[in-house]
Amino acid sequence: MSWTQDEALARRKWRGPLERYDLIREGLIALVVVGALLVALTTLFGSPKLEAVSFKVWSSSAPKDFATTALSELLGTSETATYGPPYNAGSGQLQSLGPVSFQALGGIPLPVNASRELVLEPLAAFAPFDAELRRALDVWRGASPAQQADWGTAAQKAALEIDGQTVVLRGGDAGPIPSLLSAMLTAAQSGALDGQLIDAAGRAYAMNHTKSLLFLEDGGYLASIAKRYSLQGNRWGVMNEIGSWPGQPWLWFYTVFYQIPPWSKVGTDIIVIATVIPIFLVLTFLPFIPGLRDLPRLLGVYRRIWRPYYRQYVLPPKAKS
Amino acid sequence: MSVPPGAAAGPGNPAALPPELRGTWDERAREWILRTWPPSQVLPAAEPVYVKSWLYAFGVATLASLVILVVSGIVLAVFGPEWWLHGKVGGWFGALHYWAVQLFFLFMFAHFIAVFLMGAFRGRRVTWMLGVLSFICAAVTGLTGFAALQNFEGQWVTTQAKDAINSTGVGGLLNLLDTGRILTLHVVVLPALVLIVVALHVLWVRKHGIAPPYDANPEHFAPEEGPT
Repeated sequence: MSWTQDEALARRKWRGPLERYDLIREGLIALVVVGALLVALTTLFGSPKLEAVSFKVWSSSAPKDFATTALSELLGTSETATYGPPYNAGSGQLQSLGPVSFQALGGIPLPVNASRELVLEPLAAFAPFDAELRRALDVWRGASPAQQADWGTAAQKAALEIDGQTVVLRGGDAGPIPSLLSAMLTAAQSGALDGQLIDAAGRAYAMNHTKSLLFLEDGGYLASIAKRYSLQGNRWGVMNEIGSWPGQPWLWFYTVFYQIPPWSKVGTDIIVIATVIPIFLVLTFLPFIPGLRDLPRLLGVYRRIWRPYYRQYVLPPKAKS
Repeated sequence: MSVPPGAAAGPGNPAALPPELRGTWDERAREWILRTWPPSQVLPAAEPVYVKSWLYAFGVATLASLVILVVSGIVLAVFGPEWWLHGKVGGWFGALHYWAVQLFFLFMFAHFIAVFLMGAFRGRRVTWMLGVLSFICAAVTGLTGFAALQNFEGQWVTTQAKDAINSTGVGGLLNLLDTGRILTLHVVVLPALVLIVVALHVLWVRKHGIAPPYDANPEHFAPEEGPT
């Protein structure tokens, strides 16, 4: 039977044999059964719980990583500082699909100046309580861009070491940078840097964590925890969860492309998205696509599903003749 | 013109109203609803005999999971993040919400496989498309749920997933790092969208009925074609 005939028949009203059916009863039974299953799963296994990483935790657990990240924010070399849209005009993370960059077309609706907003402005809030920091900020701000660049180059070449709450840059003249980084480390380890100073400077409430999360991601600490739990992109990424809990397995259709070539070799999100969207369009419009819409009939699993009906109500070809 | 005294007219019997009181938008909408979803079809006393397989249970199991998802979500919304992040009872409800979403997608996937193998989109194209759309809406809702967790998973999921969203140029509109926006999207906007699409999917199932078996006995069908 062709698709057209199949569909024409399926559109006709059913006038064949019926069976007693109670929709509300079935729904309530399903609710009770699924509810009991969920209560059992919840009570037995709970859910994954791992505290959020604060600047206090990060700077105390991995002070060198924190100070190195703060340095890259100050000098404008971090991933955030060079990201590109929607945060700034950089191109470090700018993705294109052939000649078109939708990311660039989206503009810069969430401007982030890493040096100013992630380092200098938070530090300025502590300056009234710290004379050395005040002097360091004045020196930095009073210096020419060329001088700042020279100090930055020297700082990047120097060996960064942590001595208590002091950041030491061995080798070269990094100007006020060691003092600025030491103040950042002190503020972070005390907990003062968390939340308000970065995300809501001068405001009472903070519900937007864009800046602090970007800063956090620029470091290696968050990723080191993710690596411990196999949460990185090359291990199916956000589909996973910590421990043995399921994460978002329904995203397999998306994350699978990050695991297999050529998508895994190209390594850009937009290529994966450009692959997944047509797949979903095909899936959505499957009833209109000859060949694909005939698959269920070709697979023939329906014969097992409706076997009782066929046995009782549809005569085999021999008997028909 | 008023209704003559003694006429059996009124909201319960609009057909008895005089012509000048007929044809309102309300009346047309009511007639369309009753014609499209007659009560006997929405809440049927019987279904065709072929609706027997256990595979049909996955659809209703998906809906049951959705109900528990919504109820547990309302409880979490009432008591707030501090409660679910640091309280024992709050943590339990958070875990219930977490497992409900796992089962919701599991049953939805099983339902999808089952209806595909049954070729249930024959004569029911809109129903199928609404089903796929409900999965897409639910997947986005699920992602924002993980993003709104406000623990390590929330931090990791948001910082990783943002790059994909940014690459499409809508990073400013759907900023996963803005916890306030993501939380309200996850609690209000996206669940409403899922519920609307799922409700339409169910209504279309009730409108057209359950797809019949391939090669069903032609004598079991009305001679004319039903509505498309």
